[in-house]
Amino acid sequence: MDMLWFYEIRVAGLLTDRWSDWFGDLKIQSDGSGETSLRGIVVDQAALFGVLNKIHALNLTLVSVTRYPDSYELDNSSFHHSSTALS
Amino acid sequence: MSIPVLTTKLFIPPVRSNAVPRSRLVKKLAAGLSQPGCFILLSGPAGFGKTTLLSELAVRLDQKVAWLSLDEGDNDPVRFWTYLIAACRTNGERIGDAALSLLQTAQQLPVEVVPGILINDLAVFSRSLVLILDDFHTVQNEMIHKSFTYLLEHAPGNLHVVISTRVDPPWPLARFRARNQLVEVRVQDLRFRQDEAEAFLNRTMNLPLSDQEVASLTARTEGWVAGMQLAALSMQGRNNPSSFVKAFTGSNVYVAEYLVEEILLHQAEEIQSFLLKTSILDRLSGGLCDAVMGRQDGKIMLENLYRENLFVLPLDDERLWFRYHQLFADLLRARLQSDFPQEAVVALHQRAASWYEQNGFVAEAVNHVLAVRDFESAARLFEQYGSQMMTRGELATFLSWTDALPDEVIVRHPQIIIAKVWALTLAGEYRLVEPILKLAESYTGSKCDTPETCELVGFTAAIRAFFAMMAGEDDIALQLAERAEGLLPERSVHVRWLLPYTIGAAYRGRGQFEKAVEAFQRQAQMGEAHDNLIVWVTGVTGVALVRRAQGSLREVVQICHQALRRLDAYEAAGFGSLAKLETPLIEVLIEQNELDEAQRRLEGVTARMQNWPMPTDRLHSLLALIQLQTAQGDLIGALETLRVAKELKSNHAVLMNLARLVDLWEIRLFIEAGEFTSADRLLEALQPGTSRWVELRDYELLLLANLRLAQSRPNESQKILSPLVEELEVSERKPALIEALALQAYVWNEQKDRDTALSFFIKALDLAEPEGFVQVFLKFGKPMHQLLAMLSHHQFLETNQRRAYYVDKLSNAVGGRNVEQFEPPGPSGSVSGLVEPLTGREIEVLHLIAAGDSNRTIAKKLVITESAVKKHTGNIYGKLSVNSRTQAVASARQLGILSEQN
Repeated sequence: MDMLWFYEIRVAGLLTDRWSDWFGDLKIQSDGSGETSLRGIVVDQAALFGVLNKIHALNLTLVSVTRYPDSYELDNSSFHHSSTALS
Repeated sequence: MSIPVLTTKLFIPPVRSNAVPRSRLVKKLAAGLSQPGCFILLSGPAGFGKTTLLSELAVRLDQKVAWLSLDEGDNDPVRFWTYLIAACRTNGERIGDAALSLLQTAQQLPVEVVPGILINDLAVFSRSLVLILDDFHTVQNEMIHKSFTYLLEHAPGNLHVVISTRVDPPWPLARFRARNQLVEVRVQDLRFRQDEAEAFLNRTMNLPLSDQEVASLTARTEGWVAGMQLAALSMQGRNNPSSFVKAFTGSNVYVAEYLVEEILLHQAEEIQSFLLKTSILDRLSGGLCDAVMGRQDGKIMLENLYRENLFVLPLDDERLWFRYHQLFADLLRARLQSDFPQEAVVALHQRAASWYEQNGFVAEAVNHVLAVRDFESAARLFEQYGSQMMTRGELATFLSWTDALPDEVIVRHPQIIIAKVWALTLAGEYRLVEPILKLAESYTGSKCDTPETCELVGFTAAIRAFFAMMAGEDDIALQLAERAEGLLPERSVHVRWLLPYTIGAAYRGRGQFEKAVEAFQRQAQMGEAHDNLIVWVTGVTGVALVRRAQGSLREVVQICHQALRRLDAYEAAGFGSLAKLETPLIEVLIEQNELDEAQRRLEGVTARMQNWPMPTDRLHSLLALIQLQTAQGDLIGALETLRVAKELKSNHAVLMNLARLVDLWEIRLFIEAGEFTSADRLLEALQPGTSRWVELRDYELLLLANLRLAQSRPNESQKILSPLVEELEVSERKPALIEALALQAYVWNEQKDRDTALSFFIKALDLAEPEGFVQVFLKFGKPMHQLLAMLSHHQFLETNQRRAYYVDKLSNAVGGRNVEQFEPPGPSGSVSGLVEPLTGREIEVLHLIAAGDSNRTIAKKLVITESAVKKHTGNIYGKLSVNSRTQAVASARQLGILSEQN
């Protein structure tokens, strides 16, 4: 059985939370950095690429993709994105 | 029956009269088009004006432009190529006829086949053709990518391909770049520059903006054309665009979200609702929108949207069909999903599906119900239209649908089971088939009480019959196929054409040739009735191969010539897909020792088959080449061809019988090469005489008899031959009988019983003469010449001139194969006059005469007796109607037999 992973995907610009459905129920949050993070459990790689495709279709600029074990706390507000970013 | 083609997908979208001309990019593209062997890749995210740029390019070109707007539904090789070919022949061009008829046979084709045929057709087409494929990123199917790169790599000089895509395709782009085969236009090229932004905002959209404002809009949108357009739309009708620019550039909310919000806010509620609800549609027409909206004003709404430039693009000249700009549709769909309850969205898709179904677009209907996981509706559509769609060969679409359906839905629908099994069968996924057939049987319990269960039982039988035949289980195949014929309804053409093929092959395997011919003829008629050349040719080839097995060589020649003439009339003679028709003819020509013609034809077949590498057809032609090379004494060439054939059969699923024939040829070549130990070892491993196909079994036993004779073990050879001859004498397998009799003759000759040897030999000749068999006697070299020499004074020749001529021909053929010294037969009455061509040996003699050699020298050089040289010279004089050596040389030069230098 595949392990579930928690992902954080960061894009440039600000997105509102109404896109949550569109991005497969990922939680959408903007901080003061001018970037938006999409966070949540992604069931598998196909689902992840589905999200990335949608980001591309909207001409959003992808900044980073980071994976954490699913025990990661979604509501961790002091969350800092780590350095294992996709360049 | 072919796939209904939505012509809107082939329509070149018009350039709006007020669009910003992008001449710098058009110039770059046009330059790319003029580079031979180059294709153009336009790669960038949505909304960078790729489609508009291509429309502008298309308008400016003088060449024929084939346009295809791709979408997710084109992820089926059959659909993809059908549309691509349709795009090439919008004005009735003769491009892709063979490819289309092939696509309808619903076979899983090797990736090179369809592009290969197209490349041929395009080369013949000779005019320049620009093929534009928009939205290539929607294509995910690996087979399509493979065959499309094949097309790119082998594109003829007059084909220019332009691809637009949001994502780079999975092709070897680095290699194309390194070879200068790729011209790229990427996002940095596509962005609006300051001057283009100014032209667009100030002139096209008529907005009074300062240079500074244009610059800050360009910076905010990063030259993104769609963003710029959305911004312009938001500003239209505002009193103070400057304040909008300030607010917009001051915000850092995602450009498109900010602007769509702005635009929607300024629309009437009616229009907002229309935009959101119809955003689920890939294409919009008045009627379809009415069905989805439950209103009557769809057409007017669309026209208004178009007039107001609200991101609808017309898809035809009459403005019946439109589509939203993809990015705009995505933004609307995202809003629809967040603002409307799920049931409402499901209902919209269901209404769209029923409109599509009523209007005959089943695939589109299925896509809509699958989009909202309405599996019951999908299953119903599948049952209702399944067999019709399978006839068209849309296999990948089927498989992706059935994959989308949960198992518990599938087991309740027998038609879906049929579709799935058929698709898997044709895709060559044999191992996956049997479990599903078992599942089907658990549904019907192999009872046939309703039309539905009868069809399922018939279908199961047909599939199992086909596999049984492939595996050489002919009895089972026949039983099952006959059962299937009685149960399958007439409309199941896609499965039915396989039945006569299976039955024909199975009867041939059992040696019941007339029944086999009857079945293949039925297949040919089926192909004719449905206008499918490939099914027809396969049937005719089947008949010819059976006649060959019966030894009716002259009939084979007649059948093949007649069919080839018909192909000529269809202008289809050059199609690789139909080249297999010539293989039986070539085999007969080799047997009759017409090696030059055989070689010429085989070269043609090989050239045509390069674009048609169906494994079975290619293996047939490779076996013919091995036969030819062996007959020409080119053992090294034959071994090389054998290597290719072995590779082919190990990498592809081919008929088991054909695979075994390759093994048998390997043994035959070992015998030819004198490698008796290896031949023995291989033959023993094959257990000769155990093949289920009678023709193969004969061949195996004859090989073994040959080998024993070559090993100087005539007694063992005799033990194999005696019962074999007995069996063959009451069979229809004449070629095998001739060879067995000839072998018997050699065996008796070895044992110094010349009279018995001659009686067998004469029996063989009597059978062989009317059909002109030659090669069968040439296998054995020296003993053959002894037998012929014994015959030269026999009354067999004196009583019959035709026989005399035939034996003469055989003797010459033996000479041509460079067997050791032999005595040619005396000149027979029939060999005279100009119409009779010189034999190979006579030409050799003539060359030496021209070189000034004396008879003695010639005899030495050719290792023959002086009197033989004299006989040859006499024959040459007779054929050229001359009386001296000088006259002979002069006449031969005049006739082109000798060049001036000789």
